[in-house]
Amino acid sequence: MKRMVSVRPLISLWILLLFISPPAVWGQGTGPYSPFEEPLISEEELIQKKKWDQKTQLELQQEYDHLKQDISIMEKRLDQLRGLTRLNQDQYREKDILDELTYIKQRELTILGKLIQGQSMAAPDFRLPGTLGSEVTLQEFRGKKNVLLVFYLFDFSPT
Amino acid sequence: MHLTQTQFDRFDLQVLAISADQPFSQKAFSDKLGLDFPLLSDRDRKVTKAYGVYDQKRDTAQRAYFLIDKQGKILWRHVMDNPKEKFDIQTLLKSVEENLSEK
Repeated sequence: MKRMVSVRPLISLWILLLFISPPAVWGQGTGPYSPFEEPLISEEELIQKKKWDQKTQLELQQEYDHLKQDISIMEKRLDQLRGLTRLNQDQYREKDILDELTYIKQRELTILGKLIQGQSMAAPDFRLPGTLGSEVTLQEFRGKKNVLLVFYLFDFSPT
Repeated sequence: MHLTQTQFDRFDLQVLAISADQPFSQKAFSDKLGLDFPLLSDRDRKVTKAYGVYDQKRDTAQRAYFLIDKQGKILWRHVMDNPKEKFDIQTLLKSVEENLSEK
């Protein structure tokens, strides 16, 4: 019994210490967000986004052309690799290049999107099957109605 | 709470939603939510790519809004690079209103 009594103040002291200086792990990566919630956009992405917004149309266009060149070069390299005898090592290299290609193509599309935004470009026309019976074209709303296009990921995903 | 056509009627605006899903899947989705605007099926991702919102990694469209005026010009565009980004309907309505009134 005597021992129990002597441990108690130690525990309360420990709890007090935790409050004064919480372990470093608790504060890791929290930033302005709650530690239990994944941040919507990471700091890095935010910085990237700011850089994007500051770029001029010309710079974007140049980057876009540059990316297109990169893509054609990489696709050629990929074709060459596929033509070679398949050593294990080559398969790894092929995967690397494929990954990189995917990344670059994604960037190309992002830039294309940015270019569209900057030029207040004409909306590309389309003809697609719709759920309300007939096919829908963008053309049919010309001069009649404004249109809001909503792109979404999957059916049954919260939009 | 999801988007409805009636929220946008006062802007003289038609809502069209596009995804890469099959039409029958979209039909089921639309029926379940009781959507009052058409869902369009972009199976070959051509339209998605033409608008620059194709997500290579997931092979789908990115979440995005395009506001197009009666002359067929894109007035406003919002692409959510991060699929988890929250963009509620009030903000959307406000953006639509601002961009249509600027004209």
